[in-house]
Amino acid sequence: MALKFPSAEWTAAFKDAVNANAAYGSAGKDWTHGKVAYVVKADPKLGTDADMAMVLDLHEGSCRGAAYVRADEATDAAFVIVAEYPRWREVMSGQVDPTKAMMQNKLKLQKGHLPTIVKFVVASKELVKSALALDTQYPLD
Amino acid sequence: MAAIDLAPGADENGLAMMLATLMAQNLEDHPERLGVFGRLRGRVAILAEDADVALTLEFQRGRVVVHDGVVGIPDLTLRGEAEPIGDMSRMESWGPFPDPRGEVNRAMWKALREKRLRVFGLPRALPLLLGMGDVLAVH
Repeated sequence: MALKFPSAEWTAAFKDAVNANAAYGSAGKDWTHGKVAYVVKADPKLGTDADMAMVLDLHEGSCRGAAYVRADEATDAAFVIVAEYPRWREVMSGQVDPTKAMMQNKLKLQKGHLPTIVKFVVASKELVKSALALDTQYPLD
Repeated sequence: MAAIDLAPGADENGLAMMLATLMAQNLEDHPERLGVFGRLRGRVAILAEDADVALTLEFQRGRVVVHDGVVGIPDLTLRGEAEPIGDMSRMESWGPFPDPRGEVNRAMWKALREKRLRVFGLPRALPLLLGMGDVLAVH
């Protein structure tokens, strides 16, 4: 059954997909820099009245935990990347490369050390690629 | 402390914001690079053609102004695909020069051979290219 993006179920399945992605395991093996939050801006069309965060507890090439929470509760994330829902849909469905999306100001690093993100750009891409393994239902399609 | 200023409109340009933030955080993390930054003078235009984004870095010996789009006559122009442009800051160094054995560097050479990345203004602007590379490097 397709999982709705974004949601708690999708976030839990994403964690498993990340851990099943050997390329991420290799590219992210040196990642010890903390949790990463993907924040989807509030969108009445999605039925969300607050910014929502998918918080990934990434460590040495694996995802130790994942939570879907209000963005203002994701205070323990070292890195926060924010975008409107349509932009996340483009990135998570593989239509747009995440680096290109940042260059186009579609994804914004709201919190975190950019040189670290750049150093781990291959891991970041593999992280996003993990989502392609999921059967995802993107609302408004 | 390095002065990194955004010209009007640059705050809406994702690549401009990325490079401004990268320079600021790199120079904070590696103050030894301030000497190189202080010597840089000239305009560098960067065009990520497939992302439809362009910017100009106007280095003024200890200050850089980041402009949205191509502004003025560049001394050095880099144009091509977003991927090799994004990889510029991951290039591996061997002393002051790019390490030919580096994985990212080999990918960059391939992009240059395949014309997915083109550089205009060399050899005259080589010191500007190497100095900018040093300021942007994340290694």
